[in-house]
Amino acid sequence: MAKAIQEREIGLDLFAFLHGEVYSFVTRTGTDPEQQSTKLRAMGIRAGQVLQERLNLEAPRTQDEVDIVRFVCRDVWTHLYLKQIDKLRTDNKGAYYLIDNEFCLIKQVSDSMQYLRDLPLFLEFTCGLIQGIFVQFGISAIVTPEVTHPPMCIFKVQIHNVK
Amino acid sequence: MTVYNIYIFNCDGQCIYYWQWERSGDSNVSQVEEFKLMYGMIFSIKSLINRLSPIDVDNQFGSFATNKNRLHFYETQSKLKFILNTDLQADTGKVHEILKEIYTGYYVQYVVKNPFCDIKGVSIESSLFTKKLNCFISSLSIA
Repeated sequence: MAKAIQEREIGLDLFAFLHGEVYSFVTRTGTDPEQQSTKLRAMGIRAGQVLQERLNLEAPRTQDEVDIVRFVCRDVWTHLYLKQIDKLRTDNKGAYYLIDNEFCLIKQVSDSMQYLRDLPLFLEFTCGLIQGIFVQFGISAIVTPEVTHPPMCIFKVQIHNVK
Repeated sequence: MTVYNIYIFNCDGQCIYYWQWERSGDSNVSQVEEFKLMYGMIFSIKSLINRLSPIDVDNQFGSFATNKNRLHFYETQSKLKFILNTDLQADTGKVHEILKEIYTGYYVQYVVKNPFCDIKGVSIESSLFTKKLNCFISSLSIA
């Protein structure tokens, strides 16, 4: 049991290093921040789409919006980051706030103002990941990161209802 | 046990981190010179030990003492060098473990795992690393 946990932690570390390198690569080779953020987000969306196919194998068929948000908060977050989202808020107008008190990808980066300027770009991939998962469920959403007190992180999911 | 200061050198011999907690004696040279002197000394000691060792087995430099303080040395497989100056009450075995802990629990956690910290960089900029290291060292000084 302890070995399985250790293996999962190593897997998470490996993903964190790879993600860090992807971020470095995109910021090193691109010049325009807009372009960089689009690239990272697009990568995240594609990854999120295939991830949804992979993780959704055991979930029940009919799911409404709230169930999908809960699926992301619980199952997806546990599979990827070994913990669940700490708090979920909604304003009942299609916006959900996923609050992670200690987001593991930025836990070792800073707990103060340092690097605050670069963190939103760093989180673009993760936002794209969440967006991609929603896309596969047929829901169009925009996810934006908010970091004011690292390592606490808020992912705002704005659902677009096309009726 | 009092910890005076710490130097971290990378494999090229550049000092990527220096922090002092207590230092009453100031050297007369600039900080850059001081780092060069420190690295040069460590390098020479290591090479001398290799050549003058009285036994044929793998001999590694651990620490040396003056009449007032002791210098401890720890080198990783990746040629990263940690140098810690403490007072004479420090137990060398324990400090060896402490340096190992600084490497695995603090350097690897807060510098290597930080994507904004360049692993080939010339200095460690992360303030989180400094903060956590300070907490760790203060907890040792109290104990």
